[in-house]
Amino acid sequence: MAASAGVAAAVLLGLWLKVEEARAPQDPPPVALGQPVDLGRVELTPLSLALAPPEQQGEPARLLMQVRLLNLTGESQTAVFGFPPHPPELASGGVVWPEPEVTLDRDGEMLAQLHPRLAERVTLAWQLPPDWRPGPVSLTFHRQIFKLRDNLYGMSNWLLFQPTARMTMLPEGAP
Amino acid sequence: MIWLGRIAIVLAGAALLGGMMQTAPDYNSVVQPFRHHVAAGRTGEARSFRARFTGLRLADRIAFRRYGRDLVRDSDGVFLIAEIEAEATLASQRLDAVWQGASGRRYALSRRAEDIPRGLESRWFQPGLSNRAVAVFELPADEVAGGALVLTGSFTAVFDSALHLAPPALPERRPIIRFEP
Repeated sequence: MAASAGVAAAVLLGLWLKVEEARAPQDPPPVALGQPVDLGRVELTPLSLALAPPEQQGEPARLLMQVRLLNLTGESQTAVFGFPPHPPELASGGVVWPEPEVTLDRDGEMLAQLHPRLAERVTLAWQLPPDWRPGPVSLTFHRQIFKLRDNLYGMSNWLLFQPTARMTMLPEGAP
Repeated sequence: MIWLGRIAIVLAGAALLGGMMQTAPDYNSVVQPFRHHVAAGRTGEARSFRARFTGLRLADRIAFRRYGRDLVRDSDGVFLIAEIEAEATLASQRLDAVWQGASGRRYALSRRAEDIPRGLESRWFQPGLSNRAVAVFELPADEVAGGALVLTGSFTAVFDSALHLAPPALPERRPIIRFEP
């Protein structure tokens, strides 16, 4: 009897929480340049967002975001933006752009890993879609949830992603 | 009075269960490699290989040649170059290395130094044939002293051996180290 009441109460509570969540969908908090964002494995600080000319003749122009990345975990990370990778999601006019290329500012090589306590400056580069009209863009940052003991094996695990912050701004160099 | 007895039994059960949950070792601490600590200069014996930490160098930058291009890598930290001598004892195999820093943080082989001459990630070790290899790590300078080189026979090494090799005496930090083919 008591167990049935407990299960029923848990189901009702869960349902009520879901209804509350659906009634008032929470937008991730806004962030600005220079404000650090916790993505789970790394802390990302956006430093600049600017339009840039194409890398080579015949290619589209690019949108570049410079960020500072710091590994917050106790081991080197190859999945800097989590797994599967969730780099900052750039959207303009409601359209989400493909994932950016991430290169080290230090030597222009692709970012392959990030070591603890060694912050790196990197550039995220998106190619501008041909039909893009200059205007504000929004960047959504996702945080991956870490559980020290997951529900399956009791092992530490990286689980779901949640939007944790959003930055809306007009890129530098936009008319 | 009967009710009091039942409540006491439930409370005692809950306390026992809580105690077991708190004291039971978690998955991560149970599913681990078996550690063997090896003093500086000594040869460590793992289940499927033996290895010795033969040399340690520190540099601000490293230089090497890859695919016909001369590359120079710099860092906000320091490059630690560990030289090892190892041989397999059961079958041909590769080795993986991690630098466990003074703080306990674990630094993987630097992917920015991939394909250096004699690099550990491309080396195979054969039974009965001693072979030398170089492992390059990128880490903050204060993680070097008090750290150890951890060698494993596979990339997970769960329930397998892990050699924790103490480093030889720390050398002077050099501005650049060039890896010759």
